[in-house]
Amino acid sequence: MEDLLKARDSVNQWMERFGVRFGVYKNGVFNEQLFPFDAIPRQIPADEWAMLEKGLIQRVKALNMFLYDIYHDKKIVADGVVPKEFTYESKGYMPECEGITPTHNIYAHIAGIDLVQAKDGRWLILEDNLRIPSGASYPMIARKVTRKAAPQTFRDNLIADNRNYGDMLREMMDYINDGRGINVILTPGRYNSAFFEHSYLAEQTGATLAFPGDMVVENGIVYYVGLYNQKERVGAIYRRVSDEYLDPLAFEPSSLLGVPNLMEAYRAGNVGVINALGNGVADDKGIYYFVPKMVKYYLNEEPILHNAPTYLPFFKEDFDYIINNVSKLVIKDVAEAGGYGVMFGRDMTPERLEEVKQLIIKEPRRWIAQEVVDFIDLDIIDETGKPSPRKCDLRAFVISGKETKVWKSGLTRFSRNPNSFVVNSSQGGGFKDTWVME
Amino acid sequence: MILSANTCNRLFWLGRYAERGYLFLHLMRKAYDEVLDVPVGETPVYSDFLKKLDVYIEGSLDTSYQIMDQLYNPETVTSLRSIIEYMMDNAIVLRTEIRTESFSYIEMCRDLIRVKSIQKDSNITNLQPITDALLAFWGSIQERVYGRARTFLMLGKMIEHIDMNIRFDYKHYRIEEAMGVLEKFIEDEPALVDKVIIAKLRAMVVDKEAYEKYDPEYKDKMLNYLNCLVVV
Amino acid sequence: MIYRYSYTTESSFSPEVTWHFFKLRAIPCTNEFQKVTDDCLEIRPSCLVSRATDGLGNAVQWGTISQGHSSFTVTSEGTVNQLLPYAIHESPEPYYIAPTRLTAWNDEMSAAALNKKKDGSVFDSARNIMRMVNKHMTYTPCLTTTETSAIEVYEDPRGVCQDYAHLMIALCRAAGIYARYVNGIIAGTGQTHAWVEVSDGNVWLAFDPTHNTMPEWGYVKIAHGRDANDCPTNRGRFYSWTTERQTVMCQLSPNIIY
Repeated sequence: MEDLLKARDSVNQWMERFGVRFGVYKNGVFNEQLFPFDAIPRQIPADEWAMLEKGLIQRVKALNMFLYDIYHDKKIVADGVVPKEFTYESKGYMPECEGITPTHNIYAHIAGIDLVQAKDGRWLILEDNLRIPSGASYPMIARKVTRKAAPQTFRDNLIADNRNYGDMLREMMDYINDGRGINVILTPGRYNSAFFEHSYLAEQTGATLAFPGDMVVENGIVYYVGLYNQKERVGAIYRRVSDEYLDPLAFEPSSLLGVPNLMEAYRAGNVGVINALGNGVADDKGIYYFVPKMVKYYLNEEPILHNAPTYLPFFKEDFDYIINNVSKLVIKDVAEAGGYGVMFGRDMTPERLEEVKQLIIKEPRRWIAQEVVDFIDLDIIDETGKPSPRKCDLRAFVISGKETKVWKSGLTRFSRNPNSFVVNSSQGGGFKDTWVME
Repeated sequence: MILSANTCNRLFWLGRYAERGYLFLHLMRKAYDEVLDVPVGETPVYSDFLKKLDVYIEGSLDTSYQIMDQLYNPETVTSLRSIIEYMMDNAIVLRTEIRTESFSYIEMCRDLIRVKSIQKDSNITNLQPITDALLAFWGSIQERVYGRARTFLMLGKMIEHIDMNIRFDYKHYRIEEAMGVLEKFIEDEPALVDKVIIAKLRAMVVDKEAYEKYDPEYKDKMLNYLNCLVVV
Repeated sequence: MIYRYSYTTESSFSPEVTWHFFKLRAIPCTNEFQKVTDDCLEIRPSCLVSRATDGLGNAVQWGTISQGHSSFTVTSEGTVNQLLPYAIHESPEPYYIAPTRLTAWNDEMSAAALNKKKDGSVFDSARNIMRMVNKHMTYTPCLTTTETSAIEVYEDPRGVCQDYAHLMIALCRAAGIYARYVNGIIAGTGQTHAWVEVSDGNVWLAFDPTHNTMPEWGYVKIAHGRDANDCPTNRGRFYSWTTERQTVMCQLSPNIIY
């Protein structure tokens, strides 16, 4: 792996050349930044991957069944496995999706499941992202570049190829499209933080990159409008616009990012939307607690992958535990994402701890508490050129089309500072390639 | 692949800016060379260069300031820096049409001009990599971009080429040649240009005598026609 | 009772618009207490109008006008037969108890609502809340907007029927009572009207906080939702810059022909 480590500057230059960036707004000003790449890969041995793969497929299958159930039969709530407070009263639940059956009953076509590996070697699920998980393009293009820059490394190691992500997406999009028209990736525009990814995935899948205003709905059919008003039917939309902005006539009226009346075309079954609308009900921090129960309920199987130990103040027993142990727990706001609303008890003053307790007492449904997991650090090469340990997570990408498959790679993110536990890219930090060994 | 009107427009402008960037450097180098034969203190060469780009300087000309301004100032719309930033603004949304490979040459131009802007490098030969990258960009387009996307890029390139040739008083046969290439090119898709305007422009190009007076009014009229030729 | 209803909206645009997308809830609903016996929906300029049911169970009419136009008119007319007093026997969906942006409440509102809650029937509590809202508020047109929330209305108690309804819904939900927003047509106002439905778990009954009554007849319902945002009668969107002027006219009259 020596040549790879030596080539790390040239790898970063290549990525710059390919425009591998993400946008950030700082004080209202848009800026593009490189997403720093660290050359030391995360390596996952074949047997460990086989277990992860099975567990991830199981989890995503259960989540898809849950979403179907929530918007149709509602059995899991009627059977008392998941309370209505965490489903029908959740912010992520969308009554507008009631009774809609997405093409082939799939909701979470692209699931980004965040995991960490504990010091004892166990993999734990941190979070499910079922709306618009991003990040796959980075390891994909990093691999392209590193293979070029350090050929010997790739000759010496048996690493599963991860450059097939575009093909996996395309295959899934074609399945959802059902031959109805063209595939489209809908981006909010070039000032979106993940615009590089939108344009790169469009190139890699052969889909048309659509901007707001490029599509219209007429007689229930979605069209992409070309030059001189020539129209082409759209069969599947991989949208990178969130639910509430997707159709100004159904949701947020001020949205300029959506396609007016898309919801009606979708309800009529004339277009596939990837991911489905309404998935938020299955991926907030509150419902996370119940996912292992879903696996048992829908698949009648024991969950292969486990959650980080989690407590819900909503339940009396957990509530008492949390109040007595706040100082050693992590408290998370159910409604927040991207590393925001996360509080570590051990970093708090006694006054702050008391405040947090009061917050929990006041709104038990709003918070979850987790044990601090001591997870494995991975080395990065820091600014001084020396190895330095960092907290890392892994976002695995699970694609559900005709079959449910796990992409043999993933996005390994690391924290910017050695002491930080937050690895979200919007909070600084960088990424590594993830090698699945064969 | 279906392209929206907006995409076609951006392809057209990417083509124009890429050609403008290339010719700007080419003409700047020429001006650099001509300056060598002019006595120190007299610099009509630069003011002439700037005038042709529609930059009019009031008062006396501070040559070295003007050169830096025209190369690197992002606030100066005619500067090389601006041309490259505009080129990037268009290219960034066209990755699917031009592919990552072609895109990377535009990205290289921008990275280099930003570095040089910070260094305030006045040695124009150090900008040769931009010329190289722009030629590589067009090569990459020839290699992998087909159909309408290529049509609009090339259309932009050709129109910018004629535009700059007129501005810089190229010989009549050069304009006529370039115009011939453009007309041949649009034979397949005549709807892309305004029929009336192209006829008027052709009439002006054909009139060798009128053109060779290099009269600013005549030139402006030609440039006006040229700039409303394409219907997007 | 048989009623003739009419709902008209007229919009004019300057400059004219192309690619106009619209979604309407302009036809009264049919349920156990009312039945639309005859409806006629006319849209100018004419275009294909599709009909569907939204996720909350409301009938929607939607379409696209692609050619340029400077006015847009919706005329919906017909007859409704109200067979029974206003009541809908359905168990309420759980989301009608959760706050939305427009129906969220603060601590003060929650205390006030719980104070009005009675031990007896849910409807007695709701009636108390309605009375409180009606007393608290002063009817003031043209002050609030469609985006004004219940909390804002509670603090500055002036507004129109939509604001009365949002405030009552917020207070009911704060007291643990299912409540939803309804729009429809009543006689004599000329505009669409908004009121509230409250459920005890078995049946939805109507409460009109603007008029402090529990109507049984003469309230022709069009649509319902968690708040006004869920069920606008008319929402449109165009792909061009324009200025829009809109007027709405409604009428409801007992039908004398029958």
